[in-house]
Amino acid sequence: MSRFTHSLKVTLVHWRLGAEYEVQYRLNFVLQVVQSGVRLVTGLVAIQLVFGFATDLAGWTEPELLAVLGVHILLGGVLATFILPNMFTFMFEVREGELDFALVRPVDSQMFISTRQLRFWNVVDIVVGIVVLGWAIDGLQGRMDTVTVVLFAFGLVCGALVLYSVWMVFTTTAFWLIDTDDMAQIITGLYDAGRWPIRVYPLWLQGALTVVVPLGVAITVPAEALTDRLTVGRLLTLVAVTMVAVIASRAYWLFGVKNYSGASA
Amino acid sequence: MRNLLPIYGIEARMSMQRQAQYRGAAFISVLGFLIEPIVYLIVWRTVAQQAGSINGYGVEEFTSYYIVWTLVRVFNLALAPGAWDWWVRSGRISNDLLHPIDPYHRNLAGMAGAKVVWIAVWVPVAAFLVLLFRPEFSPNLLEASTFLVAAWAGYVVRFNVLWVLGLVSFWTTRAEALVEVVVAMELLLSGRLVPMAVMPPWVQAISAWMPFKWTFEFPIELLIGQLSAAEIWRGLGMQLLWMAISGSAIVLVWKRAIRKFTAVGT
Repeated sequence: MSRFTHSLKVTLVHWRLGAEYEVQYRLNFVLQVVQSGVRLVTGLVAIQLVFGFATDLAGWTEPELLAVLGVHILLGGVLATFILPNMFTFMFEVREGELDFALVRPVDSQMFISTRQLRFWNVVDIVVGIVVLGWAIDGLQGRMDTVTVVLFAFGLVCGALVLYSVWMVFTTTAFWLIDTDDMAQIITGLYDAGRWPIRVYPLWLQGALTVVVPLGVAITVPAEALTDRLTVGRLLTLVAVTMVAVIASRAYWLFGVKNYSGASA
Repeated sequence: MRNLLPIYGIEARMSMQRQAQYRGAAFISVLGFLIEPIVYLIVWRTVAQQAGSINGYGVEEFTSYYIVWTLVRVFNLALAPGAWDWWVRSGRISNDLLHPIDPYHRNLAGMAGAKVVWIAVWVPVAAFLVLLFRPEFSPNLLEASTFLVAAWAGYVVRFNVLWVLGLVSFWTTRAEALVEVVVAMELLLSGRLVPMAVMPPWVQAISAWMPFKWTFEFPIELLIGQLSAAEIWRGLGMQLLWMAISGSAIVLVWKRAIRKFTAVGT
């Protein structure tokens, strides 16, 4: 069995255990529904307010902005379910000197620290995102065909990979900087900037959200696919950004692990 | 009743010095706070370019509003209710209860002291925003000093409201959902998302009778010159009223909360 399939199997076991563990706490599901509902309402109110006074925002109509919001909520759900719990556990372990227990395991270390945990009830956000997207598609009126759906799905996968890689780079920095809470605030803020299509922003900010911290393209490009805006150039940008992000975060992680001297000494 | 004034001074100074050691971290956290208003600022400038002035808010007013927003945000930063969950659950609150000074006073003073450092690191960021968006407003000395009073008063009101909310953790360890609801209400009704002038009249009416607006929109509008003298007096009065209401709520709830608490841990 190759090393990769072995790691993959370990990942699936972790996810199953994580889900089974959380399903015991059913009240958490109700609380999560309340929280997701509240966030959905504030997102919708913001859009409603804008369209109370304008007919479009930088060329985006109301159902089109709804599509952006849907992608934002959906990818946010992926982030909260699969990625964030692992990232925070990792940072905690570096601080407390417990990371050695993870590094000595006979699986790929990056895969292991990225997939140990699953916050199952946050899938509510994924469902809410899909519902909002359905709503948006209904408002867009029949511009859907197979190519659109395939491009959209592809964009989402790239978006999720970018999201993961950005967090991975940030998390790996915890090897050197112990108190990373303040930086987490910046990444979260930049992710929330993705609630609006990045074309709304001035060029310097568009550039930052594409190249420096590519969270903007991760959300906007899938939404562009859905709203008939996607050009070949934009698609290639997303593919290039995804590849660079994945490879760079991997290289950075390996560099970090190599230089990490452990905390038990 | 012990004289609390010197204690406030000492707590504030200690906390200020602690923050000053971590200037870099303070700068990064202020930067993190600023992305939110920049997003609102750009979105509403774009809308105002299309729609013209909305109830007194055009491109220039929105720009000034969201830039002063950043300063008011630094002022009204208060203890997150989530902190209580951990204090109570881990038993850490026992340490604070042994202390001769009520944790309320120590935290209120401590956060106030830390703000001095945050405001210092806010200045270069604000300078950058001013260069970028070129807001136009020129408060006179009286407005500026009234603003300082209103901003500090807003801090106390917001601190109190979040403190009461935090006390809920003595009864349940699952207060996050409730906190989330209150945070959303604050976002919509305080002027944090948009100035109330943009909201429909019925929302404005609700907002005027809630505490949130007096901690966010009121100081901002005061400084950018959107308020008449009568409105300023009324706002300061509302801040006093909410300080009294939230203060009494704390006294009332604290007594019951503390009886509920059975020490955990060491």
